[in-house]
Amino acid sequence: MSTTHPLPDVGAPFVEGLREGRLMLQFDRASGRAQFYPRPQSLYGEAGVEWREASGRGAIFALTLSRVAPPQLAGAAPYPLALVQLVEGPRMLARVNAPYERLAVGQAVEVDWSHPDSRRAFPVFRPSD
Amino acid sequence: MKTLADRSIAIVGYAETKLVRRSGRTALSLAGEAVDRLLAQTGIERSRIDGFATTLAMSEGGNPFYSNLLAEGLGLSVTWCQATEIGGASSGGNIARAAAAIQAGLCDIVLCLASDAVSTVDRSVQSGHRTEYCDPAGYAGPLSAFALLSNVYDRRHGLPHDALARLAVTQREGALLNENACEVLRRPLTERDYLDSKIVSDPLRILDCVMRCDGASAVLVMSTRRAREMGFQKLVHPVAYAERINFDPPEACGDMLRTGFTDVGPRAFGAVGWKPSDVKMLHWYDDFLIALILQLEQTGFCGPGEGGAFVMAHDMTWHGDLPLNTGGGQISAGQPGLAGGGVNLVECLRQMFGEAGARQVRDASNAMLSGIGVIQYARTWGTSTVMLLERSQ
Repeated sequence: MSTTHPLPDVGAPFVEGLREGRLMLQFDRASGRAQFYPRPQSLYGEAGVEWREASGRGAIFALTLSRVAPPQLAGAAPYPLALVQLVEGPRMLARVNAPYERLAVGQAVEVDWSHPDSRRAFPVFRPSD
Repeated sequence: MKTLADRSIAIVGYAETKLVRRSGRTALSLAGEAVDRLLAQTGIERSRIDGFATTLAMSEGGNPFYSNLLAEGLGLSVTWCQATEIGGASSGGNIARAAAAIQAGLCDIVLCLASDAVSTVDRSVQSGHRTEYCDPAGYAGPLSAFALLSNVYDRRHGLPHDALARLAVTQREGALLNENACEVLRRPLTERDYLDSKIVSDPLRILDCVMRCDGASAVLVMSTRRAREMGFQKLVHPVAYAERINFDPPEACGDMLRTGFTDVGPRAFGAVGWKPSDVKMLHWYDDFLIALILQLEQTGFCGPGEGGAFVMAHDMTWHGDLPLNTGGGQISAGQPGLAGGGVNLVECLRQMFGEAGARQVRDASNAMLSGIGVIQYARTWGTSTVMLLERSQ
């Protein structure tokens, strides 16, 4: 499997952070609210954004077992796909690397940096201990 | 739009091709067939058309000159031309844009076209969050988004499986009577068939989702004054239209399921002084059945979580008390890519013109058309539209 980000620009700190095993998010300079995906401005005002490392922890907000997949993940289906509500606030669409039967909405999860896709493509989460 | 309520804009004709799975044709070829049919039905000469609005076509991918080249291919010389790319909402959106262009004096007679051969070839590429943050995460297309929002709905209200099954069967009944529906979908369906259909992404069933196909539709719009001058007897007036792109960006209400329909429904009704109980029939965008439940709850027909009960309390077949997508909708007729909104629009007009044959609704004097377009990141959909239409007295 190979996935490359096309010309990361606004989201470059996010993509570079993944390679270092760090989840980088944008925060509103005034209110401190976090947002994802990366945008050229804050969703919460006109004070601008700053990049900071996030905890990589969150909870499952919505969950599905996807029996279909984009081409680069065709061999991986079925897999749990979730909206993870990060502790910093925003929701992130991501796979969860665990048997679907053991997952539930509300369950605590964290980025699984040992999963190769987390560093080269997009964070994959796992249940928190 | 403030300028529709005076009935100064009229739709005088419509046409569509049969919906076909993998036709092997191009958007231009399909468009040509729909336009020929429209011109034959209305008796309008091609050279009289001076305005042109089209949806985009996934089969034409990144063509940066699409509307201009389509006009050339169709032999149109116009003073106003545009492609509208608010996804499935573009067909209805083009009626409103045509009205605005006519009222602004940019053109006189507008052809609104929708054509896509996406099941033959899909050349579309979405840049932005789809490519950068969705595909690498495991997003498998719109059905991933609808599976996740269905999961949220299920947690909050309980998914109304009985009502979703009823909707599937209701619309299929219309497709059985619609010769233009995809042949593969023109088979009887039971509620049990729906409930037993394959899960594609829990809790979404395959029969919750549209099937892509190829097809085209064409609609002719002009001022009511011009329509009368030209001797058109049957007219349909768009009397209200509301559109919302990117509802509530910071999600201030904190409710993922709350969509732009909470805005456009009340705005459209308010513009013409109607309420939901005044509406005779619904021609609503139906890429996924759950979208119909959310539209019922968010445009004022019932409250949050009550969509399933509303469906079960009404007969929404063509012969029922509140007919819905009487030709099968996109769910049971097929979704011709970005031309999909034209399936709902043309059936709406066919009913209002009294030309729906065996599935003719008893009272088709007015209708509510809706549109949905584009998938947001980790939300629902990006565009919500409502148009209210009324037959000329």
